[in-house]
Amino acid sequence: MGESSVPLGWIPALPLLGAVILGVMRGLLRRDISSRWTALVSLGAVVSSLGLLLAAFFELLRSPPDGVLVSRMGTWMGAGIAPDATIVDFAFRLDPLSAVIALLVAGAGFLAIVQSLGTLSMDEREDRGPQRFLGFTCLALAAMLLLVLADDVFLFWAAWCGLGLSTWCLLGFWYADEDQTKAASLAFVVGRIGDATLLAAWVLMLRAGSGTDGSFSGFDELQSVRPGLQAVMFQGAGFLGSDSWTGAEVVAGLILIALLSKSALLPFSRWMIDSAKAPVPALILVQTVLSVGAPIYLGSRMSFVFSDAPWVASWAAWLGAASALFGALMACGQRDVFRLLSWSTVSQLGLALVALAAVDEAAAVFQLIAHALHKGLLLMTMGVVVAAVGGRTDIRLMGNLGSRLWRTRIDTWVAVLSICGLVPATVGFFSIEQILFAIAPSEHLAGSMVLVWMVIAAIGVTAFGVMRLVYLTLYGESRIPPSIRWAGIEDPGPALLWPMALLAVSILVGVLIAMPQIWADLLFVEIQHANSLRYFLGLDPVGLAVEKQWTLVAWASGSAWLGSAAGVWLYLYKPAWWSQITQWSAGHWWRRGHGESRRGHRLEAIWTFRTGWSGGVPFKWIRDGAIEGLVLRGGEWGFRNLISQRARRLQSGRASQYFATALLACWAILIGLFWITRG
Amino acid sequence: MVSWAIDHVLTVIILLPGSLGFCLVAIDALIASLRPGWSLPERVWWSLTFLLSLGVFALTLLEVVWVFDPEVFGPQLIEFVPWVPSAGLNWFVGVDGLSLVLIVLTTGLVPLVLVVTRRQITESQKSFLFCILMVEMGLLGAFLALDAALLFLAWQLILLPTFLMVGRWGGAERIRAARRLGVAWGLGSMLFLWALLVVTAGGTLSLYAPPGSDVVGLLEGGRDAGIVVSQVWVFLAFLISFGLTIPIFPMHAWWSEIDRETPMPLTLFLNAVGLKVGTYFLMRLVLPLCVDVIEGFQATLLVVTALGMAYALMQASIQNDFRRFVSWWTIGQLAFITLGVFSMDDRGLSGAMMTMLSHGLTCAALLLLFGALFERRETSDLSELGGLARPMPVFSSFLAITILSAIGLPPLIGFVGELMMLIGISSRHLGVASLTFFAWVLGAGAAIRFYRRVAWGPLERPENRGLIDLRLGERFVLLWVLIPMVILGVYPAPVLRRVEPTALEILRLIDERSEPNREAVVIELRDGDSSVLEPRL
Repeated sequence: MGESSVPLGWIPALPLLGAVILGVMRGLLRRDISSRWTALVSLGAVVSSLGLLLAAFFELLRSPPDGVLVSRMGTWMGAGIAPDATIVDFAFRLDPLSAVIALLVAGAGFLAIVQSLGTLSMDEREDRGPQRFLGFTCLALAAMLLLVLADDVFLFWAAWCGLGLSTWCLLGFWYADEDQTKAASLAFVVGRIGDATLLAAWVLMLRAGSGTDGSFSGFDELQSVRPGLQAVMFQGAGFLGSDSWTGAEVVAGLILIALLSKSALLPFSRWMIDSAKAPVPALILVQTVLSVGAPIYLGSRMSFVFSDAPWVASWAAWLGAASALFGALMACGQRDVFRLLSWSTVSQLGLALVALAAVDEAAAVFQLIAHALHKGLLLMTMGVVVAAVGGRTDIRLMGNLGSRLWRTRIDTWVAVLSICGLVPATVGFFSIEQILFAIAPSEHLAGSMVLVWMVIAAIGVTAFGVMRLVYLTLYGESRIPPSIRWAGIEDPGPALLWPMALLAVSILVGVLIAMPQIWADLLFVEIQHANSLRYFLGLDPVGLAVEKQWTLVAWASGSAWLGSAAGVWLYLYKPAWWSQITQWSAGHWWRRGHGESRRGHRLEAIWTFRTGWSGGVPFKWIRDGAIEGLVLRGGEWGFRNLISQRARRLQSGRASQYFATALLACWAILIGLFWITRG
Repeated sequence: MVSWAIDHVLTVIILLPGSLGFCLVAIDALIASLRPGWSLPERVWWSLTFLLSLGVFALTLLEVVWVFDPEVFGPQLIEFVPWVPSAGLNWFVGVDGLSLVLIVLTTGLVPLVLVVTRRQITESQKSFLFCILMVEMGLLGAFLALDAALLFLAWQLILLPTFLMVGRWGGAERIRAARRLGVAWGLGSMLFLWALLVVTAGGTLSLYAPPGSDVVGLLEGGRDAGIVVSQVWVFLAFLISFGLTIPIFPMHAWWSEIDRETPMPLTLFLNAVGLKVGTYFLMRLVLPLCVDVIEGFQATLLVVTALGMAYALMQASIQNDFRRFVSWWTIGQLAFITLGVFSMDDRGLSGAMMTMLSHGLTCAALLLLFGALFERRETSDLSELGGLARPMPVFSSFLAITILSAIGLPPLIGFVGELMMLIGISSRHLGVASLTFFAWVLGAGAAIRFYRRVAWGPLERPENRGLIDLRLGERFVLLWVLIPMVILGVYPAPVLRRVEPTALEILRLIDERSEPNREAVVIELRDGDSSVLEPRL
């Protein structure tokens, strides 16, 4: 561990400074800066931050293996007078894990800013120009970079809370849209659940640590807490797997909730889906950086808690796999482009959680990289498609746009090939493989083989859903409303095409940073450490036998090809055939029980390609009925109506009632005190 | 004169507001007697009061920067003058980290209260200003007094003008509200007085040993609070008394109703500072005096308080009225502070002190924003609002910063105190911590929903479309509280360095007074000097 010659604290501070400048000018002084200055401030902040980060990264590369660069810039909180005082330092570290994620964040941030400048400069819904949005973007990047570089758990927590704030700002950017504001608020409150559980986890570790060596604040010292955590026992409820829980299990559970809430996995998915109407650059930032990078970084940093708590890790893996499969299935049923992509993000994040649960940080981090690249590119290209049809996001009103947007179509295909994992030349292909290689040999996960099959199924369903999106938007017959001039549809300018091309190339070139060894052995001669990411992170090579690895590759590829082929076949070549079959089955099924109802017609329609539905009714029931209905709305109803509304009646405004209540309460406390005394 | 003032800076700070009030009344009376029908114009009254309040604030800050020594754990800048020796009553004042935070908050907010008074109190403004000065004096006295009798007198000085202000300048139901306030605080005062009589029956009224005296202070080791009656009764009396003052669950019910009827400047003063007298007394008096009971029933107390916090924030989440939201929010935050106090952990206590400051600032900002909005729209009904971010962007930005600070988001001041309290509570009481976390998330939901209903959403009502944004003067007034909110969030060290020693000092007193230690000390004292146990009242 060596002192960094680069002031690491400035890496998050520079975007924060950009956010403050833009925010103060806009929010306080009501001064609109010109687009040129806005671009200069935001890009200047992020590029200079990226420059510092690169300098630190090269310094890290020059340091010995397992090297860590640290930088301490003073104390934030705590006077440190008491022996057990909590001190929060402005302490930063750059190790291989944080370096990889920080570079990804800064790079994605740069592209998001370029995208914003290209798309939001003409948007006048709430503002003239992208100044406010870029302020929020800089804030988000500052929070994310602080999170990745923080070497103090409470500084990390502050950044984690800051991410919730920036997500709220970005998703609520179009604040006049009622639905959007509700979605942003929901995202914030769900994120707050994660904030609470993460803080609880830190405090539990602090308690365990205080029994051993005083206190801790840095991530390195967390390892010393492990024995203490294992020794602490909590009385459990039994139904979650054990009658008594160790401290490690409780901490792992709390961290799992934090991960689930931040990354919108089941049962917290609703906020990400509802926020699909946000501006495209906001979706890019939230879905590729904020809700992905932060949980994966936390999970990778704290992976040892999953090793120490196998049954929590199993829960995590099952929830991840369920999210992956459920998200992929739900994506198949969406008509809205961005809701579809949001469900797809849920699915991809589910896969990353499975890798984390299997304690394979390299697979999880590579999934993060792959997802950031291909989902970022797909969101950008779909943003172009949506802009081409006048901002309409319904895929029923698209079709054959590829013939006008041919450059965008190329980029879309690169992203799609990667997401589906179709050809061994994209990051997505190898990312999926590594997740499977992580789960299959995992002994601490319950039912690991079932998990493998769930992941393989999710791959196939994802491929089907994404192919459906591509064909309903870029191919087939045009269903564009007559109000849109066909000849006016064209590819965007170079300000957008270049970032898209850059991402497309990265998807292909990114393969080189984490190619599984079996492929290197097949394609090249005598190349060591083909998976350079795994090597750079200091992790052991994959422990699965080569034959089993090839078997999994075959199954995953087969599933992806099957799903893709089904999508292409159904939506491009045999729409009429499929329509007839589904009309017949849907009609018979519904007429039997419900007669000619509106829902019957809807069901009949939604089985056809034109409406963009592919079999989501049972899943809609599950989502609307079980998850949204029972868990979210039921919970909301419980709090708001049952407790709060009843409680409101106590506030009748009658003095007599108040004093009676107060007296009763006082007596209750009094009796309680005496009862306890006697006991 | 100047050197006397420098040597007696606390006395000057306490007495200046009251002295000015009486001087102005006297001058007014003199002018009226010389030229019937003449009097000092209201503008002059207000200007003098405002200038003086700025002066007192400057003096307090100077004291913080130059004189106060953060290394000292106990009270400092002590001034001790025997007042009524036969009754054992002394002018005994001093300041420690806890008092310091609260007097800075009090003196810093009075100029704002006066600005609001100037705009909103149109009837008998002079009398109102006089009452405000009296309340300020009472608050400063309560925060700085180190003598039990003085403390009680200072408290009474807060109650009487408050009662008059509610009854005279309140809303439509002001008489009823004043009556209710009088009953609640009167009952609290009686119980407080009774408990003080009991605990001081065995000795001195001084909380700490006066300088140059070998008398052991009321809060210091070796003194048993339960000499005459059980400590449980003393504790209950204190708890009900301060519970009514704070107000905490389940003695909170009167507050939200009264708060609605209270004139705006007073609401600002009470919500931001006045109610914290209760939490201050809890920390200053009750923790050391009733340590055995609190330790015995700590879990019950924490659970009830955490439930109260959750209940208050739940109520806040369903309010359709701006002011009622602030009232319930205040009740929830005060319950949170009380949790920090009862956690008996140094981080919990430091966090509680920090949260007192942060809540004072956020609450003041919220009410100032409400005042600005009410001037334009004349409604506090949230369903009448919505979409204000478009016509009033600066208002919405300020409201967002305030709300985010209120729910403890970094890097705003609310974050620091809440983080420390959560760590303090979680470090010792995991069950209570989980309840607190639940309430905390609930609070975030309530605040975000409130903001959404005010600032976001479509601008449906035509009345809202033409609303004018905050004027320059209003922005300056709000920046007065928003700037410290941000600065102390980014760099809280100056405050924490001053409050942490006080938290440790309180814990030291608690430790000395806990049962096993106390017995040993009592024997030692009895062997040495038994005079300390003689009754004085």
